[in-house]
Amino acid sequence: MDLAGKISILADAAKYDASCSTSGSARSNKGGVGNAAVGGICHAWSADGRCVALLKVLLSNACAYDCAYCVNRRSNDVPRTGFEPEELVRLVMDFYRRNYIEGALLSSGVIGCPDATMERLIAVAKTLRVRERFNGYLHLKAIPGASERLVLEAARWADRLSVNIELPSAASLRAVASDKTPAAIFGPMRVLARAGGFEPRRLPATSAQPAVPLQDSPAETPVSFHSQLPAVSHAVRDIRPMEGGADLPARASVMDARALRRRDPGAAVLPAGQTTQMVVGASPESDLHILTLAENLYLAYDVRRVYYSAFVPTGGDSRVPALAGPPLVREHRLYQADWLFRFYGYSAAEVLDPLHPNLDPSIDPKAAWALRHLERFPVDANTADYRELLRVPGIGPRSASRIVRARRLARLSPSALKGLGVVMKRARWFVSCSGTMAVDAGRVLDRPDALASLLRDGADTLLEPLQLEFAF
Amino acid sequence: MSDTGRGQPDAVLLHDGSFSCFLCAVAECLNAAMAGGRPPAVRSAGGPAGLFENPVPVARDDARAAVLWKRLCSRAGDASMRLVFEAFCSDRPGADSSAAVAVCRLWREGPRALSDLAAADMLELEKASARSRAEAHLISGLVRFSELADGSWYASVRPSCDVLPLIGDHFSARFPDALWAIHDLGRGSALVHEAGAPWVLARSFSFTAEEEAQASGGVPPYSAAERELRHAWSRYFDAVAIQERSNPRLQAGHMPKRYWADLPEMNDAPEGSQ
Repeated sequence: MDLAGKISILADAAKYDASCSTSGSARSNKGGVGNAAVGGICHAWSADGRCVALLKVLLSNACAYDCAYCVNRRSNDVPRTGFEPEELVRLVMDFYRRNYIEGALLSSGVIGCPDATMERLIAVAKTLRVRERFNGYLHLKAIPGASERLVLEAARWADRLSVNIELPSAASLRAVASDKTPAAIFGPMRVLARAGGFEPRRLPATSAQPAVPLQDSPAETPVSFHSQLPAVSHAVRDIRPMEGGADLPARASVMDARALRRRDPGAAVLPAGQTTQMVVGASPESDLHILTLAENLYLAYDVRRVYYSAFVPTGGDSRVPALAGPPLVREHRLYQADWLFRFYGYSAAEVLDPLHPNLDPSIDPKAAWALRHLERFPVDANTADYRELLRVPGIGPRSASRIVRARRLARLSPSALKGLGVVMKRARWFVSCSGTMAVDAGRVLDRPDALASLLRDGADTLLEPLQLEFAF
Repeated sequence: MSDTGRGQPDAVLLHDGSFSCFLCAVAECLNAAMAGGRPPAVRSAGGPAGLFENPVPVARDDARAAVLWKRLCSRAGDASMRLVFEAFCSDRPGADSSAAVAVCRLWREGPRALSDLAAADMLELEKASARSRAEAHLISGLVRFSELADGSWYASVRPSCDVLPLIGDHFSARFPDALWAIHDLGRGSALVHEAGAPWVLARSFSFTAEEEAQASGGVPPYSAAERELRHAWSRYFDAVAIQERSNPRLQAGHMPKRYWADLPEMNDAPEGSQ
C-alpha cells in the first residue's frame, strides 16, 4: 500500500478523536526544528468545520479491543494497516517543515497489550525529539491499562497526553466497551495529573449529582464510576436532591480553581497537561451526568480540556443505539456549558439540576440560566463587577474586560456598549447604563417565555438536518 | 471639516504608506500639540482626499522615525507602541489617522489612555490592532511552504492586513536553519530568512519561476518529493473530515475562501482524477 493510502486509512481511523488543540506549551526551539506556540495555532479546517492542527493518525488500526462505539473494533470489517515507525517520523517532519501542521497526535489501536502499544508510541515520540531534534507539539494517547512507568515515560517526550473516558458511566463502559475498566482509565489519569505537578484531590459534594435514576436507563441501577475516582467519591455517596431554595455548592467554580493554579507552559514534562473525551449519544447518560463528571475532572485531576464527541454510528453494533446521525445540537450545547465552566465562572449545579437534567436544544445554557434568574437583572454596566457582567447574555470575556477598562475613564452609555463589542441584540434586555436601558425591558422581564423566544440562537435548526431522535 | 477660525482649510499630513513616514507625520503632530495647537490629522497619501483639506506631504526620514520610536517606547511602553504598529499594519481605512491621535494621547497621558475605549480613536486603535493580530495568527497557520529543488522554501499568502512584519519572529524561531521566503502576493513584499540570520522584509519581491515553468510547459522548480507530499497532505486533509458532520459554512467561516488559492489541500484534485 502506498503512503497516501495508508494515511487515508489511519487518519480515517483516528478522526473521531476530537482533541485538536495545540495550546498550553511554550516548548522552545533548542537547536533543531520547530517550537510550540502557547496559544496554539490551527493550520486548516476540514469540510466538517473542525480545525486541523495536528497530524492525527493511528500507528495501527488493528485493535485487540472490541468497543462498540469505535470504528476500529476488532469485530468491524474495515481494512487494516499500520505505519512503520520510521515512515511516521518522516511524515511528521515533512509535514511540519511545510507548516501543514503544528505537530502530531499519535494514537494506536491496542496491538497485543496496552504496554506493548504504549512502547511503540513512545519510540516514535522519542525518535522525533532526540534524533530529529523536533520541538513541535506532540500529543500522545495514553492507552487505558498501560503501566505507570510507561505513562511517565510518554510524559517525558510529549507536550500533552490524554486518556479518553469515552463512556461516562461504569455501567455504559461495561455494556459498550467491556475490554476497558474505570480503573484502567483513571489510573493513567492520576499518574498524568501528578506528572504535571498536580495532586489529585477529593472534592466536596455537589448538589448537581443526579438524584433521580439516570434517564432512559431501564431497570439497571446506575453504577456511577465516580466511585472509582477518589477525588469525587464523596459526590456519589452523598446524593442530595436539589430542593426549592437549595444553596449552590460551596466549592469553587472551574474558572476560579484554574485561576489559582500555577501553570508553566515552559515545563520540561507535560507542559500542556492532559485532556479527555466523552462520546455523546452512545449511552443513556443525561447532560447533567456528563457535565458533572466533566466539572469533577477539571477540579480533581486538573484536566485541561474535556472534549465531547457526538456519536457517529459506524455500522450495526447492537450494543450502541441506532442513531441516524450524530447528535450535533447536543454536543454543541455541551461545549457551550463547558465554556461557561472555564471562562464564565459557572458551576454544573447552576447550569442544570436533577429536575432539569438535559440542556435545552433551542437556547444556549447561559441565556437559559439568565431566564431562570431574571431577578438578577438588569445588571448595571457602570458598576457591576466583571463576573456579574459575564452573566449577561451578549457579553463575553472580551467585552466584559473592555467595559471594566473603559468605565474607569468615562461613564458608559448603551451605544458605547455596542462599540465595545457587546451583542446588544441579546444584552439589551439584561443590561443598563446607570439606570438607562436600550429598551423598555420591563415589559418582557416578567415574561420569560416572550424573552426566551427573543434569545433563541437557531443553532438547533442549523444543525437540524443531522439531529435525530435517540432510540434506546 | 471644522473651521479653524482663520478661514483656512485644515492641514492634513500625508504619509507615503510606510511606517517610518507615518512616524514622521506623527512627530509633526506632537510638535503642534506641544506648541499649544490642535494636532493636524494624518492620512495615507494614497487614501481618498477630503473636500476641505490642505494636504501637506511629509518627507520620509528613517533616522528621525527611529529616534521618535525609541522615545515613544520609553514614554508609553513597548506594549502600547506594539499596539500602534499593529493598528497601522491593519490597513483599515482610518486606522492610521486614529493611530496618530492615539500616539499623541499616549505621549501626553501614558498607557492609561489605551483604556479610554469610549473615545472613537482609542477604540479604533484597539479594534484595528486586534484585527491585525487575529490575521497574523491565522496566517501563521495557513502559510504553506513548498520545497524548491535547491533546498530552499517558498510560500505565498494574500492577507488583507500587512501581517508579514508581525509573523517574522514566529517563523524565524520555528525554522532557524533554513532559507525561506513568505511572499505577500497582494503587496509584493516578502519575508526573507537565511539560516542563522534575522529575517528581513523585502518591499518588492518576485518569484516568477512557477509562472515561467508553466509557460514553457516544464515542471516548476520544486524538489522531487514536493508533489508527492502535497498529495499526501491533501489525502490526509480529506480523510480527517467526518462525512456525517459535513458543514462547509463552518469551514468557510473559520477559513475564508479568499485564502484557499494558496492552500494545496483546497486545490489538489480528488483521488483518481489526476
